[in-house]
Amino acid sequence: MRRIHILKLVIIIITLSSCSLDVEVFDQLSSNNILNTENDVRAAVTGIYHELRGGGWDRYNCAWGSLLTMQIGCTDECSSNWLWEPQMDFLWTAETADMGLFYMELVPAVTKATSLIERMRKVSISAPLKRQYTAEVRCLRAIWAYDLYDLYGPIPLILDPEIATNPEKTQTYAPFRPSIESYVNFVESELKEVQENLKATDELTAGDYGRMTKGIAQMYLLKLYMHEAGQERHYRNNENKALIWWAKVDSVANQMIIEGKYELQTDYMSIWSPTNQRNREIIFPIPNVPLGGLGNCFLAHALPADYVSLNNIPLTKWGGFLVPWQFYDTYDPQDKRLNALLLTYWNGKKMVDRRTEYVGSPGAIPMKYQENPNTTGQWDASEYVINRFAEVLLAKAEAINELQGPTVEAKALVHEIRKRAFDNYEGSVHERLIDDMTDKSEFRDHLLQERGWEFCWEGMRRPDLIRHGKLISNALARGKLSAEAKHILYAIPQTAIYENTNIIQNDGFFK
Amino acid sequence: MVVVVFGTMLQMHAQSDSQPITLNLRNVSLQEFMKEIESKTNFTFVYRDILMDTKKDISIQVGNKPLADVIQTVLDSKELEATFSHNTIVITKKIRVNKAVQKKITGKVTDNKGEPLVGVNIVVKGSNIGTISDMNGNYEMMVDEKSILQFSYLGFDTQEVRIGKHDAVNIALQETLNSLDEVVVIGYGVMRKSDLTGAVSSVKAENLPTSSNTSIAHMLSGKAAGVTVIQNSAQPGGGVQMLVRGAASTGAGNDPLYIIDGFPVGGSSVEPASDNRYSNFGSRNPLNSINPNDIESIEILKDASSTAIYGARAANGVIMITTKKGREGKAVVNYNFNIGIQEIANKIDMMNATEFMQEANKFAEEKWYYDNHIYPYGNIDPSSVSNRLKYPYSESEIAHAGVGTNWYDLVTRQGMINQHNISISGGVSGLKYMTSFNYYNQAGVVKNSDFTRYTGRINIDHQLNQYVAYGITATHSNILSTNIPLGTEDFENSGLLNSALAYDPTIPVKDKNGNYMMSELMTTVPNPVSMLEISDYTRTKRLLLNTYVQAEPIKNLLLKINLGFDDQNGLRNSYLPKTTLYGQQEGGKASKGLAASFDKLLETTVNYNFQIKNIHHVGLLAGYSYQDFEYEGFAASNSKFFTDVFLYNSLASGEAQRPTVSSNKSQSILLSYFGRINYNLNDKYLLTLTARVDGSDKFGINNRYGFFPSGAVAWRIKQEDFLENLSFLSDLKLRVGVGQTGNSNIGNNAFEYYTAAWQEYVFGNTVNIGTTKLQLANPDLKWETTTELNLGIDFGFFNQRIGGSFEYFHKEVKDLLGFRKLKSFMEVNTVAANIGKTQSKGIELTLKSRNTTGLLKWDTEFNLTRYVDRWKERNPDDILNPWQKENDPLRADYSYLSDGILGVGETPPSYMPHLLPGQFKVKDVNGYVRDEFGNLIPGADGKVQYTNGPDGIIDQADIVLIGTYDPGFSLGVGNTFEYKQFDLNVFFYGMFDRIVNNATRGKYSIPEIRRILNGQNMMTEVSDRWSRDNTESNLPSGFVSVYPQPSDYLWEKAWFIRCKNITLGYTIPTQKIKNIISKARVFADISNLFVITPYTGNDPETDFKAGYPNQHTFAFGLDVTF
Repeated sequence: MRRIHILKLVIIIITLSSCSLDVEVFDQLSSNNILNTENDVRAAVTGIYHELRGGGWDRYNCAWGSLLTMQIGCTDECSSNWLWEPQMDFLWTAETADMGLFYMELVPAVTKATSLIERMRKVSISAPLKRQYTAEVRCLRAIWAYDLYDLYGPIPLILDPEIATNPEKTQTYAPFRPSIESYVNFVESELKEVQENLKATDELTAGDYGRMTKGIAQMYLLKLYMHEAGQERHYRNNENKALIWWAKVDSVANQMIIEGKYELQTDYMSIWSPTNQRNREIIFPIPNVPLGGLGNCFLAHALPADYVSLNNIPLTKWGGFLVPWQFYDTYDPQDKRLNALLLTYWNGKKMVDRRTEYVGSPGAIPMKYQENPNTTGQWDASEYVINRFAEVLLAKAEAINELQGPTVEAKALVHEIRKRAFDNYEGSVHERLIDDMTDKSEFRDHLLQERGWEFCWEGMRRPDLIRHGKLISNALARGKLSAEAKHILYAIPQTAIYENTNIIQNDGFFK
Repeated sequence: MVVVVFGTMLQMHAQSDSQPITLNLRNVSLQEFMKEIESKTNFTFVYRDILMDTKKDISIQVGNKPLADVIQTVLDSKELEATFSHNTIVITKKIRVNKAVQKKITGKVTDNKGEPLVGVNIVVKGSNIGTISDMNGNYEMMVDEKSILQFSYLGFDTQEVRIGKHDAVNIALQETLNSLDEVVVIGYGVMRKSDLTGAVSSVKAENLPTSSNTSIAHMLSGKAAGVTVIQNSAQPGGGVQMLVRGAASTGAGNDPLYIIDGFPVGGSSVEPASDNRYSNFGSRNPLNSINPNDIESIEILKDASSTAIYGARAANGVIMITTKKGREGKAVVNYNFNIGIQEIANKIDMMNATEFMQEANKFAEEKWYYDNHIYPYGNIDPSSVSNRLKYPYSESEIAHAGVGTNWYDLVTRQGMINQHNISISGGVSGLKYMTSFNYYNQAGVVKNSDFTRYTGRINIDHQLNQYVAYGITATHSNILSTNIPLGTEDFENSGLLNSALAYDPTIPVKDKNGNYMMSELMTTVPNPVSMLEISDYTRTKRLLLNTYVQAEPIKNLLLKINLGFDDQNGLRNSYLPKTTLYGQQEGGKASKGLAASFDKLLETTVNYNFQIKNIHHVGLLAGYSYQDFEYEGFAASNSKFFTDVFLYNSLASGEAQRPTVSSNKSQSILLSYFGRINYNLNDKYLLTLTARVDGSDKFGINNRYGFFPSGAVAWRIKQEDFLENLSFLSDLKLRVGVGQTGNSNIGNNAFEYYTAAWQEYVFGNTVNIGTTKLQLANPDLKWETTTELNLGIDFGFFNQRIGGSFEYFHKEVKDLLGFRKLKSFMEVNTVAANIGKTQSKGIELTLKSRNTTGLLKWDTEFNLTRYVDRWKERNPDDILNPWQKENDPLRADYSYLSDGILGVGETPPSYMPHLLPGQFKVKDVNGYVRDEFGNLIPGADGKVQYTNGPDGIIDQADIVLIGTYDPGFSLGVGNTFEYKQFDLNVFFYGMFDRIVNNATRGKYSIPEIRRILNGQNMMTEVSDRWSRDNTESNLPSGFVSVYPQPSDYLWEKAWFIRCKNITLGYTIPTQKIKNIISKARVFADISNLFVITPYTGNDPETDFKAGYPNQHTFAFGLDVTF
């Protein structure tokens, strides 16, 4: 009897404790609960915006490998205390990992956007909201497509939802590089189409500040047209086509000016001032909070190690960013834009003169971003400015010059920019300098220089020099003897070619 | 006194052996008869097996007869007799009383730890006079003065003592070194060593040095063949990588399965991360929570045939830890304590302030030549250079610098270890108990690295009645560890030691106002001494409890139910005060983190043993197991505190814009069925078959259950008649086993999921949470399967004076868990998959020898392990890096090869036109196949092709395999000496044929020499680098060329031989006070006295970048048994 009881007990325990092996996940989301409500969609769209900053270190920020350093690292306005030689000395290859970061990160971001656009199509939420979110994601995707094109030339992007949502299919997917024409068409049509469903900057609520706006789409259209104009003239030898692009530049700039959503700040330094955030000059901002990965770390990159805050703010100082004296010295000494380039600073005991006392490489310190008390030292709350209205005015001036020569209208636009740079501008030599110009190419050269002064360390210099056909000649003149014609593009990262040998490397980077 | 006690005992048994008993038995064996008596009285029989026959020839029918009479009646028929002692009945062969005996002799037989031995056979040499020891190890007999007493006992060496004038002979028997009858623990049972068919290493706790180690893992270094123990960090309680037969898994971990008293521990760590920037506090060992003093034995199940009973978790071997149990008899109280001091064994040779300034000036000068392209770095005329040469330090500054501040010395100290352990064990009438308490406190050689542990244990077994027994093992531990930042990150995230090595030696600790001095040149690295103000500690608690109820309803049929849980939690508190650099930036930062795991186990087993015709012995086992693993965590932090006073105790007082909170949870289930058949034919031929089915919710939907079979045979050749006459050969056994085991450590990787963590974006002033797809599903994902073949030989010579075993294994791991690379342009570009195969081959040799016996006893133990882990087959979808080959070692290290330094006037290689003197030439060894325009020509498979020879271009095709960190082979040698009251143990172990990247040189030497101008201190070796006036150097200048940098010169040979411990003990004679103290021993121990190695860094085993320094430990201790 006893045996049977014990056996029964064993069997009962085994049966009771048997259970199913269904998975339970507690702290992640499954495809069932990811995209059902408006809040879900909003979070998924935020996930796409996240691709602008990743962990905070490259992409649309300022560390090496970011859009900023990619666009200035090989130009005359940049020097560094760090090992940036491959870029500064025109020695990059397909294996220079940091020059490929932007590619390796933003190409999958485009795929992610394509995938979300497709998944959002099937979600039932209010139609206007869905249209807006879709437009935002498409706008971001077009921006990334443009910046990738600017840096690496046309590359295969995943715009087909069938590919984007089906990873197994892609294992045998080895697309060729698209033609320039089709690539440019895609970026242009996307940026045009999304405008209808994007809000204007003044329509955004305070809590939505930082979302894609119609102005940002227009801004990137402007950049695309200018880029194409420069390419046609200098690298495709098609002056007629160049003029068509310039006409488009003029038209978009005009539209932006007429719409009146943006205006110049009267004080140059106030554009980046912590007390003048969200000002109307800013077109494309990356809003920040003083938290790791979510803040602005430009100052930490730029400030020299012995810099001491006069406002008693504990700041992180890595001392990496510099403006070479050769570039600094091209400014008129009275140009107030020099205030953004630090020549002397307090080190706790005395004022240090960067010209004579420095550790590491010589140069002034780019300091458009100013000390912000809302900081954790390394990350501060100052919004990061990608594009601003001054670009639109100078773009229009350049377009008019290309189409009609240095007209009064073109000069007036340049005066608008310069008059905040100089005291008592009207009637001064600074104004006359512009007014005295009669030659189209003289005015064109001046615009390149004016943009250099206006946008120093804002990520405009490389595209400006390329548009003017001067990146390589400027480098050679600076003693960068390795610079060659191929360097108007970065190389496609070697890893992208390993996995898809149908991608033909940019000219000159085979070896 | 002795006599009085003895007298009392005699009286007691005089009363009880006459107790009346009623019996009615028919055709029972002697053993069954005795069982019946035992069930009806409080007496226990003690006897030797050889005295028992199995004939069922006893029939007896008595009512209320005196017990002694009944027993003697039965024994008379068997030529046996009974002696009553307390509640023991000792059965011996009936002997004729020798009239010549002259005196009574008494005594006690114990093992070498003073534990009484019951049933020891004591005979007068050359006669048949004898007796056996009782329950308390006591004996008495009448002998002649001239006779010699022979003490023999299973598992112990036989000893002889001449009687002489003594009236009392107390003797401590020594355990036999190579006993074939030794019992070892295997999965769900125990087995005689001679019956094993698989590869099992057994380590007895008494051979382990407990005085300066926090866990048994630390003590196993070099102790068992086939077990490689690599200490990851020399910090108190530092992590250990324990490998059984190599590390053939690439993506699922190589940790063995630990089974503590039958409970498979899940291995989840409850060490919460902190939210301050120093999350890396080194590594800690999960076995720290088990008191090493509680451990009886450790068995390492190595091959698949031994481990397959643990199925999907057994592929990396199984380590069975068995804790001590009580023995029936009077309570044994043991107390031991030890105290030790620790000294840093090896310091890195850094520059002092004067040397630093001189070297900085020298480098600044060299750099001026280099930057301005002046000879030998170019052809620029120095007089045309406008940029003037600026020296960082003036002559007078150098003259007054002195040695400056030695930051490393300021953050390190003499370490201290202090341990107390007390245990009480014993047993009364079927109830056996063992309890212990341990206190271990270590103040590490780096300041603030402290480790304090309290553990308690209760082990109870109770034989309730003839059928049912139950028991419990429970241990609780409470560990307090202070966390010092040990990260290898640099600059703002520098750990304490990294900062201390890096910090400018020319500045003092504090300024005139008493504030911590900051380097003006390197402002991102905090003052190392200020970092000692960080409060950061972790308290982990663990309750590991396992209970069982076992019933034997019919003879040899054992039903057992195990129920247990492992409850662990860890709490971390951290505060970064405003007196530290980053504490100041954040306005003080406090965080609290909690991690908890709760694993539950239910196991039922049925065990049945039977024999057929006395030659077929069969053992059957079947079982079911259910284990549930739960893990959860929570953390919160805040910053901007107006005061440092609160530390982490008032998180709400912080004023941070967005205090952080986080939480997580996961759960998984393992369901298993298993069985085993053991078959033993005539003690010559042995067969074991096992199988297990494991089901887990972590596996993909299409692969929920795995099946793991194994089989092994063994042949005890020595038992064959034809070897009987070979008397020098005492044992010879061949073993062959094959089996399959699994590695199910695949995390929650099989399912698609989206995450909301770390996907934020800021709109306005607000952080918005985003979501993103983070993982793709793989419904076919399953465990890794290891198929292993094991060949083993056990041998023994000269009555086991020399014995050992040799093993050969070959295993193949298929369905390796890993992440398959998808195309890099995909949203999620990896997916968990079973990819490829690896293979591992190895040999193991264990030798044990008793070199001398007698007055000087000298034993030697030796073991050797060799294994090679290689890739066998990779996933065809996986895109290898160009330098990776199909069958590389698993943990391979690659580098460009340096080809000497470019000399002055030397023409650089054609493929390195921009190379300057003082820079490394790189060997051109390979290239890609290209067309005339330079385009890569892919092969038929679409992949790049190689020229397999120099191609005039330095690119990634020129990276080559330079070696592996894994030891080619490792060995351990231990020697034990005993002479009179003294004992000496000397243990060495070593690892050979391996390389280690000296990462400390990577940061503090030539590769980073330019940072000397940023105020970073350097190793003294930098002064040997190439420069204009040192052009013969074979170390580069430190000016990095635009070409890839060879790092091969930082990879150093790192074989080593470590003197792990030397322990000298002295047993204090305690005859006079033996009623109070039965044994007392004092000992002195030196750990890690020296290391022989060509490696130039801190330690070839525990080193990492600015790693925790290894120590010499000098300990003294006392061990008393009452």
